[in-house]
Amino acid sequence: MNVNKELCMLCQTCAAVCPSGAIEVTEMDIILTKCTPCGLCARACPMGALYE
Amino acid sequence: MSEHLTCDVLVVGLGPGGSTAARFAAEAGARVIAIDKRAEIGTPVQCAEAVSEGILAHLGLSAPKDRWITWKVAHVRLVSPSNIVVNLDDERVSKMKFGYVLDRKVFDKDLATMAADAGAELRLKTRFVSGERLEGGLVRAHARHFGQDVVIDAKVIIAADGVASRVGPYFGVKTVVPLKHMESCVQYEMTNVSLDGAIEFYFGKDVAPGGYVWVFPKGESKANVGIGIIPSLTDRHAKDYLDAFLASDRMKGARVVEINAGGVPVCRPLKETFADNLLLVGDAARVVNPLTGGGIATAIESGKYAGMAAAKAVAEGRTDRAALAAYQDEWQASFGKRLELFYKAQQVLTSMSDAELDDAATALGKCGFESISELELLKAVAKTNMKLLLKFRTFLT
Repeated sequence: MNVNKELCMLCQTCAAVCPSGAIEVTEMDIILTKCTPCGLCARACPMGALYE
Repeated sequence: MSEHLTCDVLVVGLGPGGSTAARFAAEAGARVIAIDKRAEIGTPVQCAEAVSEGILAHLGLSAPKDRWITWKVAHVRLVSPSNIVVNLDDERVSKMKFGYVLDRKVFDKDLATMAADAGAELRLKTRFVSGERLEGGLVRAHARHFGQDVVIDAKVIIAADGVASRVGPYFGVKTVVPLKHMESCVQYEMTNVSLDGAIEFYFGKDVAPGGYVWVFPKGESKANVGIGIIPSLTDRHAKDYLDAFLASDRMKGARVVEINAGGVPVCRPLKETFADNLLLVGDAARVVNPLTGGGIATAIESGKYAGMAAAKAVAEGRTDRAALAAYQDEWQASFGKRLELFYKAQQVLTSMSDAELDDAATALGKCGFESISELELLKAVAKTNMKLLLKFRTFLT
């Protein structure tokens, strides 16, 4: 998965639904790792910031 | 360089749940450290900021501080998909209680300050990275603070780190939220909004699939205008729906002054909100009202019980899961049954067609109420809706 950081609000909704624990949201960044990708994060994102 | 700290109770996350847990643990005599990745407590706001009067009891206060309250509410308006409007105000409701729209930036910071005043050591800009169990019944958290490693050893960790809890998984508690149980939310704080003091809820599959749009007043013309949707019901995003609502006549002339986003777990609480040396509170424990998505009150109440349970376990020298299990009994006894009912109600609400929502609004428009509560509204709707009635007959007798 990819993230458009210009749309991201760092709200962590994506991280909460990620079954692989592959998303870390810090106070200033979103970091995607070891992604399958299943696409759940993209659907959960309130802003539409994640895409395949 | 790294720093090594020790304490009795480590609280991760200083939202209302974490701050309350830290305060009550410290008041009970525990040495408490509380960390938060943010530099400033209370911001960014991830919430619609509305609460009922009841939370004050658990904070040990008889009246809310004036500076917490932006608006006192005694009028609820529900709007159905076909625009059937239900007004619940003191003409229709015999024992109207106030609700409050808070200023979370002020409220959250005051709760954190109350924890610090009680003796908890707050460490801001300190991000939880990982956790591990040590020999001898201790737990260790690795954190980062201004580019440095911080190691914190504790007897009990309280996970108050929200919907995407990172603490739980390190200690064997699975916290992934299924997509169908995630309320995806966006909110604009707006000014120049036309308001009459009511808090408003708008329903319908084209308005907010699986959830609702809210307009919560924060002043004469200022309001939180937000939306929660269930993303598994649609391919569009919460922001798309909210922007569509903003383009409606209702929001004509209103201007955005702040943007917030967030996710709310609208599911059952975790089966076990405790483990060896671990307690989970608030959103991290999924103790949220699934029907409204409201989580401030349950975060505060669970935080209070967790802080007290952790301090007691430390004082008695046993912090394994058996010693911490009483925490779950306590919140279960207080609001467990209510959350189960609201979970079932939410399941029905998300399955209702627009026509059924219209019917429910018509029914609500005809009856009187003693008070405004989710339970009273459910009872009234259930009288006209067979699906609800069957689901709730055990609760509503």
